[in-house]
Amino acid sequence: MPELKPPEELYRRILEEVRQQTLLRLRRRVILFSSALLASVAGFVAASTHLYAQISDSGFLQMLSLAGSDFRLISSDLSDYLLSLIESFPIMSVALFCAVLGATAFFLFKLARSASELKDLGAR
Amino acid sequence: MKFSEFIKSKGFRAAMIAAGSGIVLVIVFAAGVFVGLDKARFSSRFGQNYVRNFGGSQRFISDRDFMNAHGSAGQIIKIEGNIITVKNQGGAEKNIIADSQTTIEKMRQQIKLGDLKVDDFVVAIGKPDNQGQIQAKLIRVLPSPLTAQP
Repeated sequence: MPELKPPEELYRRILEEVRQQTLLRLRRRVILFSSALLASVAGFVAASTHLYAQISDSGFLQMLSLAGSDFRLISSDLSDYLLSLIESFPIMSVALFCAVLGATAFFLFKLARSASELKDLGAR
Repeated sequence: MKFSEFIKSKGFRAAMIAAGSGIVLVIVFAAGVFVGLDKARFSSRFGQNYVRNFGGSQRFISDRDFMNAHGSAGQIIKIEGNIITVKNQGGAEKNIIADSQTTIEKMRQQIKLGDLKVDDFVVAIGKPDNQGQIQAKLIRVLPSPLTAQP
């Protein structure tokens, strides 16, 4: 029985197919992370505006400024001062801002990594 | 496994991080409950005494409108005796009570209650009372954030 031999180009064709599939996967990831980054940047702008408005409306900065101007008076009644600071702190806006900031950083990191991998693979 | 190896192990470190995070979460949660209850109590008294303090009909304060019980920052809209009515930038009005224990400051000077004027922007810190008002310990006159803007 004659010995069966694989076609000469098989190894190169398999590698090329793997490369093409990886390129396709990376392109999809770059598109996905770009869209997500765009959405999170829009969210970041909205969250920043909301946080700025909330900090201005809450009087938190004015309360905080008392620590510099009236430290002696405040230290004699620290519990009321700390409670007034906590009460006026716009916690939900800050939490929203941090979440959107985290999402933006995450998508930026993922996009940079995918783009770098795509560049490396495309250059080969 | 020796004790020194055990405390250096990944499992021990992960358990310590989890325990630390848990403690921080419990503290933050407890602080939130404490402050939330304080605000709810003050807002309830504020609503019950709204007619007595401001006139009009009794006001129901929903949980979204809970008011800060220990301080207020805003513009003076009325001064009646030792009761100063302050309107914050969100539009909520609150009565601040000044007594002999209250320190009133403007710039580097200590001023008297009579020196305060309608439209002054003030920050007040104090204790909430049973009528939904704040017994002020400190009132500081600040430049209004509305006029300070360019």
